[in-house]
Formats: sequence, C-alpha cells, structure tokens
Amino acid sequence: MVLETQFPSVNQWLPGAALVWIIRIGAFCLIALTLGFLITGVRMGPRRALLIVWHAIKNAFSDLANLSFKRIFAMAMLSFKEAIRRKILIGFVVFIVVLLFAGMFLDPSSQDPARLYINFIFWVNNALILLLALFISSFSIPNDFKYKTIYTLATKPVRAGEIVLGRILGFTLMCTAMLLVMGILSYGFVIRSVAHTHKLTSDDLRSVATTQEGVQALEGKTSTVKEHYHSVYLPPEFLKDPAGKTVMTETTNGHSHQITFTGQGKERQYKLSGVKNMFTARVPIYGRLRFRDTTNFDSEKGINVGDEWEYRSFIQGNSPAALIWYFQDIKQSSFPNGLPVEMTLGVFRTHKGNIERGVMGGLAIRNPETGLMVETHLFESVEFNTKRLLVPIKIKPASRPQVISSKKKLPNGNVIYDIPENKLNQAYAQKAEFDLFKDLVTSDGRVEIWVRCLDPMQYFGAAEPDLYIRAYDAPFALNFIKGFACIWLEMFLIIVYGVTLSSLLSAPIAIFGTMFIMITGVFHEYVLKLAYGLTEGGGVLESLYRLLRQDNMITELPDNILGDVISMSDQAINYVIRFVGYLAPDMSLFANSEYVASGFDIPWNLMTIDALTALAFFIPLYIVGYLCMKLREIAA
Amino acid sequence: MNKNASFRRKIIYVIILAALLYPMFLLSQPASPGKDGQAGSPGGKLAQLRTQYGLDESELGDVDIIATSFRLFGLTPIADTILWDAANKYKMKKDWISLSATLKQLARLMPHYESVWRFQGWNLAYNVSTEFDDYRQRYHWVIEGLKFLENGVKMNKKSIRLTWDVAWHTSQKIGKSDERVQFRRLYKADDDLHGSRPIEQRDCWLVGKDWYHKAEAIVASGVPLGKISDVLFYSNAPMNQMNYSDNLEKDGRFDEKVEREWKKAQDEWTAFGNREIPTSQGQIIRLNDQEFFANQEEQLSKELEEIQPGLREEMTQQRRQKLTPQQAAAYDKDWAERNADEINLANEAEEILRITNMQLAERMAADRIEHGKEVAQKLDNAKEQSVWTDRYRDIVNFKYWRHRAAFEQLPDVIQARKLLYEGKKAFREGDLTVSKRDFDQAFALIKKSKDLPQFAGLDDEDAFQLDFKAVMETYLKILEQRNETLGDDFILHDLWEKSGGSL
Amino acid sequence: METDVIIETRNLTKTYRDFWGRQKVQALSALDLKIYRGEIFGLLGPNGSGKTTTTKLLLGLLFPSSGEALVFNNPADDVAKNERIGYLPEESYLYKFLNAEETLDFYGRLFRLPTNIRRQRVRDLIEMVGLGWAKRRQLKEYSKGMTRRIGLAQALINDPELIIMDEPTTGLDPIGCREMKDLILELKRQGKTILMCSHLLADVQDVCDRIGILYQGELKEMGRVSDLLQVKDVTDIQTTKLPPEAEAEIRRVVERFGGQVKSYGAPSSSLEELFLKVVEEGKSHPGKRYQAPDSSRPLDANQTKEG
Repeated sequence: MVLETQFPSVNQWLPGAALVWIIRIGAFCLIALTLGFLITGVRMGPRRALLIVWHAIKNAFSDLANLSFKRIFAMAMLSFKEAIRRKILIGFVVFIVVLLFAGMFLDPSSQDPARLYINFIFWVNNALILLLALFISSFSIPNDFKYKTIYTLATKPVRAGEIVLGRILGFTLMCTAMLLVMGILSYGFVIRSVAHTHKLTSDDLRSVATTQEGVQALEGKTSTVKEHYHSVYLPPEFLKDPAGKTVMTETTNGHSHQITFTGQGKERQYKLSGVKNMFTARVPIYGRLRFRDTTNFDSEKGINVGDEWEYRSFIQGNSPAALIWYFQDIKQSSFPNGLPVEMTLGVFRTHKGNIERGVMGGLAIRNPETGLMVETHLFESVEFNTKRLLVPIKIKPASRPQVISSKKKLPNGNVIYDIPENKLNQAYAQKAEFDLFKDLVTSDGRVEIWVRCLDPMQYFGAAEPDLYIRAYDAPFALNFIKGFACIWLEMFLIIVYGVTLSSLLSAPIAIFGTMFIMITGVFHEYVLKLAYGLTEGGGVLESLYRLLRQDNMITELPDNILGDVISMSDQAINYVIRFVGYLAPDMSLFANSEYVASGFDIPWNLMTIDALTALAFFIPLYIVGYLCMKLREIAA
Repeated sequence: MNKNASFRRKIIYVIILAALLYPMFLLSQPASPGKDGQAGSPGGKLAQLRTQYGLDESELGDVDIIATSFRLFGLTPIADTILWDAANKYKMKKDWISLSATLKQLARLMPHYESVWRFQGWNLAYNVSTEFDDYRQRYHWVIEGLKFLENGVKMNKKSIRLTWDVAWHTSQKIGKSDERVQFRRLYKADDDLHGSRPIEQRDCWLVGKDWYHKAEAIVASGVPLGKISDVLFYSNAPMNQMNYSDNLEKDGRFDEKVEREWKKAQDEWTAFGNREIPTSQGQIIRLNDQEFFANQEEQLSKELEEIQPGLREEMTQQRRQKLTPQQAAAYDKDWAERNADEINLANEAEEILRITNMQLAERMAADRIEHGKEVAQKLDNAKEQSVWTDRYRDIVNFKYWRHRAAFEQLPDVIQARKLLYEGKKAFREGDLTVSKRDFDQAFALIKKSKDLPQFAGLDDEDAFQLDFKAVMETYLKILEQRNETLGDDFILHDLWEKSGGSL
Repeated sequence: METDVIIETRNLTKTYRDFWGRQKVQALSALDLKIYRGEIFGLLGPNGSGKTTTTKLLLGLLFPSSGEALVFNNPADDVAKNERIGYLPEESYLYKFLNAEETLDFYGRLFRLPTNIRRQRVRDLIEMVGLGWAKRRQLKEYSKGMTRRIGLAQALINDPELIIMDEPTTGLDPIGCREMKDLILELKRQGKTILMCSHLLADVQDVCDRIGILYQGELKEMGRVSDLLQVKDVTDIQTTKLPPEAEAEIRRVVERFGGQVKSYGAPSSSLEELFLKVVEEGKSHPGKRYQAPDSSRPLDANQTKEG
C-alpha cells in the first residue's frame, strides 16, 4: 500500500499537539474576551461593559459546573425525535438507490475488485452521511428561534451549554444509528458483489509430469467468471487423498478459491469454494529505510530514475547498493514460524534484458550488532505486485554469508560506522545453517533486512512502507468498522460545526459556513500551502492580477508600486487564510478507506490521533456555541 | 352523487392513459441486442431512426443513466475535469487499477467524444503497458487499451478514426513491438479476446486487416475520409497481409500456405493499385497505371517531335538569343563548377530556355497545329498522371511491395528463407558448418531469383537492402566465428555493395 | 410581617436599537414595580404598551438597556430561577412534532423531576386540563384551545411558585375562559404568585388583586383593584327576591339616612352566567332544543324567554 505520510505514535504526537492546542485555545479565548469587551463597551460604556464581561465569565463557569446529564439527555431525545419526525430518513432512500445503481460505476472486470468496491462504498457513505449530518444539524437551533420554541425552552432551567450539547448528542445518536445500518448494508453489498465461484471439470484439466517418476499431477484452469479465471495445479498427494489438505487455485484478481472433489475417475466432480483471501486486514510492522550506494555508504535517499513521483528511490543492480530496512522489537514469541516479509518493489530497466523473467533480487538478513549478514532468498521481482517471502527460523544461506558494518558520511567529512571495523568477527559467518533469532536478531529485537538487485543495469526502487513484516492479520470486519469509525468522527465534527454555527447564524448561512469549513478541511494541505506562500503562482491577488492580464504563472509581477501593493496585500491576506485554515480540521486524517481497501489494518495510533483531533475541535466549538446561545438576546 | 361522477371520471382518465401507453411504447421502445443467436429487436420508431442516422445509443444496455443525468444537469464539464485530473494523478502514482476504472468512467461520461477514446486507448496500450516489467502484464495492458478502443467503436459506430486505431494498434503493438514473439504467442492463446475465432485466424495482422476492412466499409457507407490520406488509408489492409505472410516465415512456416499468402498479398496489392485515389491536386490516379502513363508519355513525346521535326532546336536557338552573356556563360558551365551567382544565372537561363509542349505545338505550321496541340495536351496529361502516380507510389513504396510479393512467392525464395531460418537456428545452437552451408545455399537461390528480368531494380530498393543487411549481420558473425572473411567471390557481392557493405 | 417580594424592577428600561446603535423604539421607560408573594398581579395596557416586553425582561428573554429586573431577588437572567417559575405565553411555543405526553415529559425532565413524580404529574396535569383523549396526538393537530391548555400544563409541570401568564384568556371560549379564571384563583389559593398581562379588562377585574396600567412604556397607574375600582359614593345591597310592597319601604329607609335609591329591580345576570347555565343544561338534558314561544301569543315584555 502506498503511504505517503506515516503517522507518528500517539506518545510522540501528543505533547506537541497538546501544546499547540492549548496555545491556540488560549489565544482564541483572549481574542473573544477582548472582542466582547470592545463591542459591549461601545454600546454601553466601558464600566458597564466590564461588569457584563465579568458577569458572563462567572456565569460561564457556574453554568459549566451545573451541567446536568439528565437535561442533556432530554435535549438529545428531543433532537432525535425531531430528526426522525422531520423525515430526514429520506436520506436512506437515496442511499439504497445509489447502491442499486452502483453497478454502473463499478468495473466488474477490474483486477482488484475488492479495492474498487470498498473505496466506492466508503466514498458513498462518507458523502451521504456528511450531507445528512449537515442538514440535520443546521436547521434545529434556527428553527427554535423562528418558531419561538426557544422562549419556552429558555424559561426552563436548561443551560445554554446543555441546549448545544444536547442537540449535538441527539443528532450524533441519530446519525450513528443511520451510519450503523448503512454500514451493515454496505458490508453486505461489498461481500455479495464480489462473491462468485467458478466451475472446474475433468475436461479442464490435463496430466503433467512431476519430479517423481510416474507420478502425475493435474493442471488446468477454471471457467471464466467475471472476466477472469484461475490456473489450477493439483499435486499428486492431494489427488490420492484429499483428506485434511487445502489446495487453492492460483491467486488472480486478488483472491483464490479452495478446491475439493468427490468421486473417482470419470465420476469425479470438482467443486470450488467461494472467494477466499480477498478481504484481509494486515497489521504491518514497518522499519526505517535507508539506502546504500555503490560505494558502500549509507544515505537517506537513493537514485532518482526520472519518475515524476518521487515516492520511491532506486538502487543499482549488480553492485553493493542495497535497500536497508531497520526493524525493532521483533520477538521470537510473535514469530514462531519465521518472519513473514511482504514487499512491493519498483523495478526500472535500463534495457529490456530477458523479457521472459523478472529482474532478480536477493533478500538478506543482517544482525545490526554483530554485522552478520545472511542471504535467505533469491527472488524474481514482479513490479506492482506484492511478493511474499517467509524467512524461516532455520536458514540455509543462498550465498556466502558475510560480516560487514554499515558506514555513513557526515557533513563534516567524517565517517561513522555502526559497528567499528575492528569489532567485526568473521567467525560468525562460518556456519552451514543459521538460526534466525539466535544469530540474526539481536536480544532486544533489532534486525535489518537488506534487499539487493542482482541484474546488471537494472534498478530496484522502494519507499519505506514498501517492505514490512506481516505481524498478523486483524479481522477484516473489525477493520471495516474502524474505517466507518473514521467516517463517524467526520460526521461528528460536521454536526458540531453545524450546531455551533447555527446557534448564531440563520440556517442557510450555517449550512454554507459548515460546507465551507468542510471544503477547507478536505483541501487543508493546499490551503496551508497557499497561506504560507508555498504554492506556484503566488497568493490571491497576484493570481487575480495574472488572470486578468492572461499571463502565465512565470510572468513576474510589475516592478512598480502596483506590484508592491499586491505582494503586501497578499501577505496580509495569507494571514487571514492561515487563520481560516486552522479553523478547519485536516479531513485527510479521517480519509482512511484506502487502508481498508488495500487490506491493511488501520493502525490504532492513527485512530487515537483522529479521535483526539476531533475532541480538540469539539471543545472550543462547544464553548463558542455556548457563548453564542448565552449571549444572544432570545426575544430580540 | 358527486362522488360517483368524480370516481367515474378518474377511471376514464386511467383508461385513456393506459391506451396512450401503447403508441408511446411503439415509438420509444429501445432496441435490444440479439442474445444467444436470436435476432435482437430493432426497437420502436425512434430507436430505428436513431440507429439509421447514427445519433445516439439506442440499445438499453448502451444507455448510461448516470452519465445521462450528469449531462442533464450540466455537470459533465466539472465531472470531466475532475476525472481527467484524477486519471493523471493515478498515472503518476502508478495506481493502474484506479486509472483504468477512472478512464472507463471518463469514456462513459462523454462516449461520443472521439479524442477521449483515442487518447486513452493509446495511453493504456503504449504508456501504461511499458511501465510494467513483466511482459505478461504488458500484454494485459495492451489488450486493455485495445478493448477500450473497441468499446469506443461500439459507441461511435461511424467513426473511421476509432476503427482505424483498433486496426493500427492491434497490428503494430502486437506485431512490431520488441516483445512481439511473446505477445503473438499470448495473443494466439487469448481465448477471452477472440471468443470463437479459430486459432488459425488469431494473428494480429489478420485481425488488424479485418478492422481495416471495417474502416473501409464505413467509408464505403458514405462517411467522408476528411483529412485522412486516401492512399495511406487503403494501403493498410494489403500491407497487413504482406506483414502476415512475412511473419509466417518468421514463425518458421515455409509450406504452400506461405506461397498462397504471398499470392494473396500480391492480389490485394494489385487491387489496391487499381483503386481510384484522389490527389491533393484534385485529379484521380491509380497506382497501377504509372507504367501505362510513362509509356504513353514516351510515345506521345516521340509523336510530338515527329509532327514537326527540328522545331524544338529552332526554338531553343531562338531562345538562346534572348539570354544575356552572363546567363549563357553560366548555363554552359558545368554545374559542379558554378558559384552561387552563376547558379542563379543558370537557373534563370534554364527558365528562359524551357519550352513546354504546348508552346512547341503552338509554333507549328498551320495545318499541323491542331494535331500538335492535341498531342501536346495528351502528352502533358500523361506526364502529369505519370508524375503524380509516381509520387503517390513513393508514399507507400508501391513498387517495392509489388516486387516483394511476387518475389516471395517464388519457390526458390521460400526455400531460401527456410534455409536462412534454419541457418540462424544452427548458428544459435553452435553448428557453424551447417549454418554457413545453409546461408550459402540461400544466397545462391536469392541470386538466381533476383536476377530474373521481372525483378530488375529490386536490389536498388532500400527496403530490400535493409532486409539483406539484417541477414548479413548474422552471416558475418558466422564468418567471424569461423575466422573467415567475406571474399570477392561472394555470390551477392553486387547487392552487398549496393547496400553499402564492404568486402 | 413583610411579605417577600417575588418580583422587583428598578428603573427598568428597554430601548430597541437598530444595528448601528440608533434608537428605534423606547419599549419601556424606568419601570419600578414590586410584586409580593401570593398575589395575582395584572399588567394592563393597550397593544404595544410594553406589557410583553416587561414579561420578557423578567423571564430573561431580553436584556435590559438600563435598570434591573430581579426575580426571587436574583437577576432575571439567572437560569436557576427557572426552577421555580412557569411561563404561559400567548401563543403556544411548543414543539409541534411531539404529542402532549411527550411534551410534558420533556419539560419535566428539564426540571430533573424524579421519574415517578414526573410521570404522576404528567398524568395529573393532562387530566386537569382535560386533554386525556388527545394525549397521543401530535401538537400540530391541536386546536387553539387545546394548545393553550397544554401550554398551561407545561407551565405547571414543576409546581412553580411564580407563574407568568401572557394574555391567558385571550381567544378562549366562555367556558374555557371561566375555567382559566377558576384555575388562576385556585393557584392563588395554593399560595402561588401570578403575574398576568392582558387587555381583556373584565377578566383582569375578575381575578387580579393588584393591577398596573402601562401606556407607551410608562407605568401610569398601579394599586389594588378593589381600591381603584371602588366607586366611593355608592353603597351596593343585594337581597333575595322581595315582594313588590317592600320597594316603597326600602326607599323610605334609604331616604331617612340621607341617601337616594339609584336603581331598584331585578339585577341582570351576566351573559357569561346565562351561557354557562345553557351549557350545563345541555349536558344534562341532551336533545332538548330551543322552542319559540307560541306564535299566537304576542310577546309580553314581562315574559322571560324560556330555554
């Protein structure tokens, strides 16, 4: 799976993030208080204004202390009923309709239907539930004011904060229920759409010789269903006695089927199971990648072979160059059968070479403490496909083992070694067989995996997430739920924004405002790039200037006062954009459907970061909502 | 009382509505394709009209509800921009699955926008396929591109370009790529692509030829070729036949079938030569006619001179008087020795001295002038036809292929090719004696055949020489391995020298 | 013993300003008011005089421009006071998508009433306002009278000490009106304080202890009803029916004390009482209809109409 940004662990992320948050909240409160004071001061004179502000702060704390869960729950139930009885459930109908027509969008002959379908399903659910949440949440409080039901409410001992919280809670419950149903339907849809089986008859199979004399295996292919078929190889042991053996078809389009048969000779009937191994949720252990160049020095980046996309870096073949992944915390108890390594390498050929086979590579394991390196596998690369290798516990080396150290050149010219040359003990390499955990993994669980390209004039490329150790497989259904949980967090934020904005603004403006926030969140990276002046073509006014003159992006601004005015105004505007940009959460944090679609477990630390981010936005928004409700003159 | 009347009225309305449904059904029933051998229905009147005028999708399966709704709401440009952007992004990130799906969505959105189909079909077959390391994957993506184009053809049945694209890419990408051996093998075994097509027919050249014929059928049905060159367009199908025959021998077949196929190629090429092709000047030529017009030109030229012999020299002399001394001097000088000014002067002199046939005729005696003009006119015609036909012949290397088809049919030549094939094989296996012997025998047969009178000039053809040089490459390697060199007595030394080789 | 002051306003002023801060309307000017526990106070005045503004200021729905509004000796915008008050607005500002039971239950929860008490009160109040037959219907299907009644029920859900009513009898039919007035008196009997605004003078007169009259945002008159309305120079006597001979003698007694009989005769009942009697008899004798007196006999002025 392509991971362009790797998320830090919660422990690394939290302190910094919390600090930033506190600073921002503090600044925000200060601004709010000052603004409030100024506005009231203008209307009512500074002394009274001070009293009012003080009064408001006191009230705020007492209100906060007096929040009653019963009242919040009552408000929540009210909102829930409101949503249902306003027939918001029409959204459901839309969802069903979309599912029915989904077949039009989806390409049944795709080579990875699971991924396509899952991505589609997540996209549909996301769009629908966000729209739903948006509309439900933005009408409620304005309607209270429009129909004056707020009068009755405000004369009851319900706090402004409870009104806001209760509504948020009620709508969240409502939308959660809908998301739950939609999620179950989606899950069923995906599983069902992809489900199929093939036919296999004796006519489809023919005998092939095996390495043993006179023993025949069967080879052939299944019927074509959904524009693909699977090759089949039935080994002789299986044909003699199928009991207890699992034989699968070849993996095509991301899945395989299990083969069973009944009967003998002419009466033999073959049966294929449904789809297997299509829906997975791998939990990968990633390592830190570094590159070794042809002169044996390590660096952070390899060679650029001219790709527009700089995700992967390359190493040369038939040279000491290598891709090195450094792993930590690899325990024998977790890997009793060896290390399952999966890698998706990029391949670059400078000449076509032997078309019939892939570029050859070698995988080796190195002990970072002793420097012992043992090559475990020689493999044929297949670009864009994931290669699975198991590094066994007992290793017979594929080539002569070595004991080497890794060296790096510092900017000041010095060279540092990870193991000093004089400490290298070549005796370690003098064995016929090695034990993975005794010889190659250090006692504290560190190990390196080295990948080299063996064909001359060819290149291997990788990014850090391209090679990982497949720790175990989480249940797919759980991962699916996690993906939906991320959608839930987005939905929750939309509801919070909707309720907060609508406590001050009218419904259409609140909807517009929330949509604006959403869009800013989706394009968050771009907005911040723009705000810090890192985009091509400069800022807002500069681009406008160029647009009007129909110049291209490289044309310089005029070197006169107009140009200066434009640059300076843009800088000011950028501050505003920065401010607005930070008002919105980075929605890409929540867009995790690719994990589910590619069969990777959404890491728990990512989910934690997501949840904490949502909370970090919720708290100030709630305070804003409370203030708006409290300070608003209800009967005005 | 009122209730009853209202109720009765409602029933009457419902009956009228139901009755109206029938004529509507007649009008608007969509066409349905035939299934499993049953004929499909042409659909209601509107559907028939649509098919007749090639207006839009008439079969229900072709109508794309999503795309149509997009179009209704005017969202096509937005969706289009987003999708195209996404496609580029996926291509950059090498996310082929998503790219493929996005391209299909794009094509769905604008099924009648030819360039989308053409570009993306080409993109898939040529750009995406090369990103893959494994030739099987490459093949898959070439086929994806072809299938994509075929879908485009289905949506745009009157598009010459799309049909032609399918033909061209099928032929070129499978037949002429670096991996052609592997591709052709996979192509032959590709049951899903060919369906019920027999194995014999599963050659990219033959399939390509079929598609070219389809394109020609579209033109025959009245769709104009527009800016597409006629001569190139019609040359494609017979060229495929040539390539097919050639490929048969490359695959190692040297039986009567090869002879038959080359004969077929010859026939098709001749038929192509007989086709009427409009030139850019507007006149119609036929490639086969060049010899006829050249002959005619020669005869008429003689005839013209004989009407009034000596008239031309007379006129030339008169014209010479008009030259300035410098022009005359420059003109008389040997062209290699003229300097820049003299070249200009000489050109001017030539202009002045040029006597056209018409000019000649007009200066003839009164009683011959009619006849002279007639002959001059015919002569000019013939010359023009000859010149233009020659030019157009060059575009498709007409003479070479005519010769080649005839040449390859000769049993001797087929035998020569077989010997070359086996000789190469022997060389690869290390048997130098056998390979040299085969090569030498082949060369003897080739010499014998090419020296036949009907093939005079064949060894001046560049294409023939190139072919020969490729063969000589291997031969020279054999000689090297045997520590021998090419002797003066080399049987094809004249051809070798013409090809630029040295002894 | 000084009865405690439930509501007090000091120099309460409200000016509606437009966006730019310019004055638009002076809704209330320097209102000084005290309302004591256990009394029914009526706020009178024509439309636009500031009655509703006063109630809204007291409820905390508006903020004063200057001056103070105090309820239970705390500022009016203190949310905690809402535990002890009930508000019956003129229009029903209730959620139309809930039914009667759910409405009362919802508001009851807002007071954090224990579940059994809440349920009991809901039942009692629905019965009290006579909506038992419509308690499951959504409020959007209610008539005006029904809405008023459910509004009353929600105002009483928390058994409040102070009830503020805005035009409680406006728009009700005579029976409903009578019931409302009876209820108000009953509430007073329970020791509750009531502030009501109205422009229906007769109703105010019937129930209020003290009144205040507002005009153009200023308090023009305030005091006990009886005091204000007392006609000072007339004595009113009502007796059971007397034989005609009594009239002359009574006149003589009055004149002996220096007075003068202003009127003597059978008093008129009020139209309201007639109406109630008709309705009452209609309930006990259904089917009985109005019968015109025998048309052969001309109507006699002395003959009363028979029902």
